[in-house]
Amino acid sequence: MEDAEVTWKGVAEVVAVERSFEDFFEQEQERLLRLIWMVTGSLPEAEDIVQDAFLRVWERWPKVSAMESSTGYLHHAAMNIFRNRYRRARLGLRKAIGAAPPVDAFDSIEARISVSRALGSLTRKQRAALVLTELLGYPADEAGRMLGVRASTIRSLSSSARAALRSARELIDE
Amino acid sequence: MSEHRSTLERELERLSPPRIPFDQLTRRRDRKHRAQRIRAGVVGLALAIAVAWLGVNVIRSGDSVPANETPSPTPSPTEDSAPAVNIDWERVPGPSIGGDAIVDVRTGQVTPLPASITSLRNPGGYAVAPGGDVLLFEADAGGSSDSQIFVANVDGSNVRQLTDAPGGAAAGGWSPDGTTIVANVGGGGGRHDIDLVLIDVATGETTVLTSGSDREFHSPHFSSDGELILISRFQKYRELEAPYPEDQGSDVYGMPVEGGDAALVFEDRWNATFSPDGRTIVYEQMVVVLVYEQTVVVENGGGSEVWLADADGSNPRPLVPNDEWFGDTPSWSPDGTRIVYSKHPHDLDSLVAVVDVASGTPTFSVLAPGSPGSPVAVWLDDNTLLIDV
Repeated sequence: MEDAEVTWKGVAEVVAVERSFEDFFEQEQERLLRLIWMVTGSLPEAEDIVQDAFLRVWERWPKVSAMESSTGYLHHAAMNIFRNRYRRARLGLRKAIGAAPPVDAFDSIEARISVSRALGSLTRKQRAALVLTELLGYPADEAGRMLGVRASTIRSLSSSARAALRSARELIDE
Repeated sequence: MSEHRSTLERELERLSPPRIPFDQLTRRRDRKHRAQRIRAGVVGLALAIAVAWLGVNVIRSGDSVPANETPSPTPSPTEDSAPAVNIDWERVPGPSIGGDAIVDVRTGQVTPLPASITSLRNPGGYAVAPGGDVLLFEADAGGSSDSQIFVANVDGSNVRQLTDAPGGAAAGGWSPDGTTIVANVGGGGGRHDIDLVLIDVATGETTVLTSGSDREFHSPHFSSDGELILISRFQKYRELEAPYPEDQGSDVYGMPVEGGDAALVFEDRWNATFSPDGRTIVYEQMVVVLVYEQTVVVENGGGSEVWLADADGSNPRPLVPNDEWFGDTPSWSPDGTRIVYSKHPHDLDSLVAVVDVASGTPTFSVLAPGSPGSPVAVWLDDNTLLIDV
């Protein structure tokens, strides 16, 4: 009887953990998907990255859920997966046609406003730096760790990206 | 909220992705676990066979192994006998470069690549002919963003476009006799369909070896004896389902130069290439990368290290023991004593490093502070590097 209680208690704990992760997934997926879509310019690629990032969080959920910011861990996971895929695309797929660079949604969006056009003109790394520093508010050194570059590189990438956005806004204002 | 942030937030709101159902994530997790179990089973079976084989051979050799002694095991990746090193990559001697360049590893002298090559659009992916005087590379051509294959003398003379394939072409490597290259050219099908071809450099005559998806035939090059075309193939094309996303694992297959079926040569060893004497391979090994609040974020897929192994795949060991930073895209010096590869220290911009193979010691480095991606180096001769930033 005691064994059965222990077993049921274990099952209940597992269910609670799973439920809690599902809540986290439902709560965070939309924004993360938008952010990564903005970075990659490709919805299918963004969906892939986001699902892999959530799987990594899920595997360590008991630990991640106890963190001060589980979302921070999710961002690190997603950006790391993006970084690795991007680097792989540059290095490995350079030798294979058509796979790199992938289709970029910002290229094909009808240039309805200049901001879209400005984002489309940025490299993926510039967009990633912009998303991490401007939208998510990470300091340059932490964003650098996520993307595998120096803080100074992040500052330089963000600065050129901001300049492009600034020009776009000036065009709109005119 | 900053001006830029509000602009970006508005742009973000315009993106309306569909929701991912939770059961889709559950199925993805189940597939991953199933594949891991299959993989673990295969590894276990391979180990069992290896142990049985070792046992049979020990029995056969009889007096070569005394009863009270056990044979020395093959060193595992974690049983590295080399002394620990703590490399300060900033202190490895060498110059900085700001564009594609030729660098002398004895003097550090930097010579920009000739303008007849760098003035083409997006040149890169250089491969040096066995004689060291002719380059194979890719560049955009004809107002399109598709790359085509070019050849030129290293001094910049005689630039010649070798392909004009709809959908583009990507150079692989030279045959050992310097007459032929292996390449991928756009096939007649969809965006990801390609032909794996041999091209006679003198005549431009093209022979199709096989056709398929680019992910089946990336990074093609000749084996050192010229008998095989070695290709990297993403693991989703194996019968086993990859335990991690398709673009994070790659096996190396060998296909006869006459064409025919490709056979698995190395499993899970990205971009494996043989040393000039054919006794050793260098390859990329995926590693753990990122820790957040003392918890590993990414395992087995965050980045890669450069490793060596004997030609049969045994005796794996890191090129630079105990170095914590990632590296990739290794290239053997013509004399086989050194390897140059791309290095990614976290606190520095990317660089290329020359390492003495016997000692695992870095002897030279070239920093590429302005590189938008990752600099890649190949050897022109035993003392000269060509670096693509």
